[in-house]
Amino acid sequence: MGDSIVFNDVNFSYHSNDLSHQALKDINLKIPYHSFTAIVGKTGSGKSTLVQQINGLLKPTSGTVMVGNSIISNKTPDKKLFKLRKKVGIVFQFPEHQLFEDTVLKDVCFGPKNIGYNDNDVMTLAEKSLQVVDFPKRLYDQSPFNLSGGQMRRVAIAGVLAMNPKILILDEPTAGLDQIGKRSIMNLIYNLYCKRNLTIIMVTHQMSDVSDYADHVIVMNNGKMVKMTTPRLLFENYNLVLHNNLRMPEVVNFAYHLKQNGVSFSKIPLNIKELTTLIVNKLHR
Amino acid sequence: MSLISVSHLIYKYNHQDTQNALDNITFNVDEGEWLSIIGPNGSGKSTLVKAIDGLIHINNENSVLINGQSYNKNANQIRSQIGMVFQNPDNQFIASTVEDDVAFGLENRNIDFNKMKTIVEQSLKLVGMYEYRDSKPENLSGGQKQRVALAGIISLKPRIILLDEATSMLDPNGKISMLNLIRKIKQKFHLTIISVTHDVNEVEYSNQTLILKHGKIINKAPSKRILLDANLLWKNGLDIPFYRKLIYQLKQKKIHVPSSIVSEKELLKWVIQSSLMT
Ligand SMILES: Nc1ncnc2c1ncn2[C@@H]1O[C@H](COP(=O)(O)OP(=O)(O)OP(=O)(O)O)[C@@H](O)[C@H]1O
Ligand SMILES: Nc1ncnc2c1ncn2[C@@H]1O[C@H](COP(=O)(O)OP(=O)(O)OP(=O)(O)O)[C@@H](O)[C@H]1O
Ligand SMILES: [Mg+2]
Ligand SMILES: [Mg+2]
Repeated sequence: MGDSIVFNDVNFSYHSNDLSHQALKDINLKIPYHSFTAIVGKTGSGKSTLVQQINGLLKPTSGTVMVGNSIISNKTPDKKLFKLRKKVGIVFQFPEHQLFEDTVLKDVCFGPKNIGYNDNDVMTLAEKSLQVVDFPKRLYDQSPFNLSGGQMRRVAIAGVLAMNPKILILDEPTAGLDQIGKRSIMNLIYNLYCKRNLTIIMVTHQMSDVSDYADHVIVMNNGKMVKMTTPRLLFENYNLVLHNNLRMPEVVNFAYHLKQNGVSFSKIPLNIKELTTLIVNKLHR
Repeated sequence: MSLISVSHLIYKYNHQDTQNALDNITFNVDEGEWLSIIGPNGSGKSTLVKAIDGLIHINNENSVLINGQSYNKNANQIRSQIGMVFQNPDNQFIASTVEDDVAFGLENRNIDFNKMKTIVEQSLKLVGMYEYRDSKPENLSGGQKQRVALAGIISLKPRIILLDEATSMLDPNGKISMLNLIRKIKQKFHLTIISVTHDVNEVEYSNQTLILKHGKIINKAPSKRILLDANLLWKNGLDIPFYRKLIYQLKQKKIHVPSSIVSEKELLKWVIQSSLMT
C-alpha cells in the first residue's frame, strides 16, 4: 500500500459544477514506486490534468489519489499537502508557469529553501542542479524571463531537481530543447531512475522516448485511461496505437514495414540497437 | 528584390552584454520560400524572428527590410503582411475567449461583422479547435493553445508567416496535420514561411535551411542538402534524420549502405531486397 501511487475512481472537472466537460473520467490506476511510467495521448486528452493530481495541485472532483500513505481527495486541505509536495516534484509543460524569482539562481534556490534545507545546502543543491542541466553560468544572475525557451526549460528542471524529490513528474520535459539537451536530459532522468531509484512519471509526445526509457505506459484518450501496459505491448498492438491517435516510434515503424514486405522476425525491435542487430542478422545469414 | 532581406544585423539585449544575441547576420528570403531556422538553445533563433517581426529595436534600420521597406518608416504597412506564432503561445493571447482572440486581429481591418465571423469559424475549423471557441485561451491544453495561436495568424492571411517552434507541443499526428495545413495554405496563397524548429521532420517541409550558433550563421543551404549532411548536423548538435542514424549504426557493424540512398523509403527498399536475396 505504502509503495505506490493509486487512483481510485478519479473524476475531475475544471468547472466543478459541470460534469459534461470532465477532463478526467473514472480513472483507476496503480503506478508502482521506482518505476518509469510514460503518459501518452492526443492533445487535450488529459495528461497534464492527470499528473497534477499526484501532488495535489489539482484535487479530484470525486474519488481519491493515494501517494504512498498520503490521501488526496476533494476535501484535503492544502496545508496537509506540504509534506507530499516535498516528495513529489513536478516540472510543468510550460516552464514559465513555475518561474517567478528575479534571478535564475534565486529561482532554483527557492524550492530547497522552502522545504527547509539550510543556506549552505541550498546553494550547493542549486548550483549542482544548474550544472547537470548544462545551464550557462554567465546567466545565473539573469532574470529567468529574459532567457531563450530552452534555457527557461533547463532552469525549470533544475529548480525541481534541487528539491531532491522521490517522485519526479515531468510534463513534456524535452519540448523546446535542442538535440544535445534532449539527449542529456533524458539520460539524466534515466539515471535518476536507475541509480537513485526515483519514481519517474513523464508525459511525452515522443514515442521513441517511450520505447527507449519507460517500463510502463499509460494511454489517455478523451479524459479516460484507455490502457496501462508496457511499451512493448503497446507498440505490438497496431490498433491500440492507431485508435488513440498515437504513432509508432520510427524504429518500430521501420520494422513493421520490413515485416509487411516479407522480412520476418519474432520480436519487434524497440530501439535502434535492436533494429540494427535484426538487420545485421538478416543480411549475414 | 527579395521579400525579406536581413543584412549585417547586430543585436544585443543589454548594453553591457559581452555577447551579441545576433552577430552580423546577412541573408535573404524570396517570396514563396519556406526557410527553416535551426540551432542550439540560446543561439538566437527567436531573437532573429522577432527582429523580422519588428518586435525588437534595431539600431541600423536598414538591416531588416521587408519588401524593401524598413520598420522605422513603414511599420504599419509591414505589420499587415506578417504574422508570427510565438514560441510560448501564452504570450500571444489577448482576448478572453478563443473566438474573440482569433477575431481580435481582424477587428482592426475594416472587415464587416458577418465576414469576420465566417473567417474566424473557418480558421478555427482548419486547426480543429472550433468546438473550443467559447473557452478561455489560458485554460486550453498545451497543444490546443498552439492550434489556436496558428488559427489567429491564418485568419489574417498574411503574406509572411513566422513560426517559432509552433508545433512543439502537438501530438505526433497533430504535428503532421498542422504542417500539412501550413504547406497547403502556403501553396494556395503563395505565402512565405520562416519556421524555427528543433525537429528534423519539420525541416523537411522547407526548401532552405539556416543554421545559427552563438548568434552567427554557420550555414545556409537547400534543406535537402543540409539534411543529407549528417556530419554538419552532428557537429552542431542538431537532430539527424532517422534513416541516417540507422545507416550510421549499420556502418558500425560493417554493413555498408550505398551512398545513393537518400531517404527512409530507399533504405527500407534496400534492406528488404538485400535480406531477401541472402
Ligand atoms: N485550466 C483549465 N480550465 C478549464 N479547462 C481546462 C484547463 N486546463 C485544461 N483544460 C481542458 O481539459 C482538457 C485536458 O487538458 P490537458 O491539459 O490535461 O490535456 P493534455 O493531454 O495535457 O494535452 P496537451 O498534449 O495538448 O498538453 C482539455 O480539453 C483542456 O481544454
Ligand atoms: N529578453 C531577453 N533579455 C536578455 N537576454 C535575452 C532575452 N531573450 C533572450 N536572451 C538571450 O539571447 C540569446 C538568444 O536567445 P534566443 O531566445 O534568441 O535563443 P533561441 O535560439 O530562440 O533558443 P531556444 O532554442 O532555447 O528557444 C540567449 O543567450 C538568451 O539568453
Ligand atoms: Mg499537457
Ligand atoms: Mg527560441
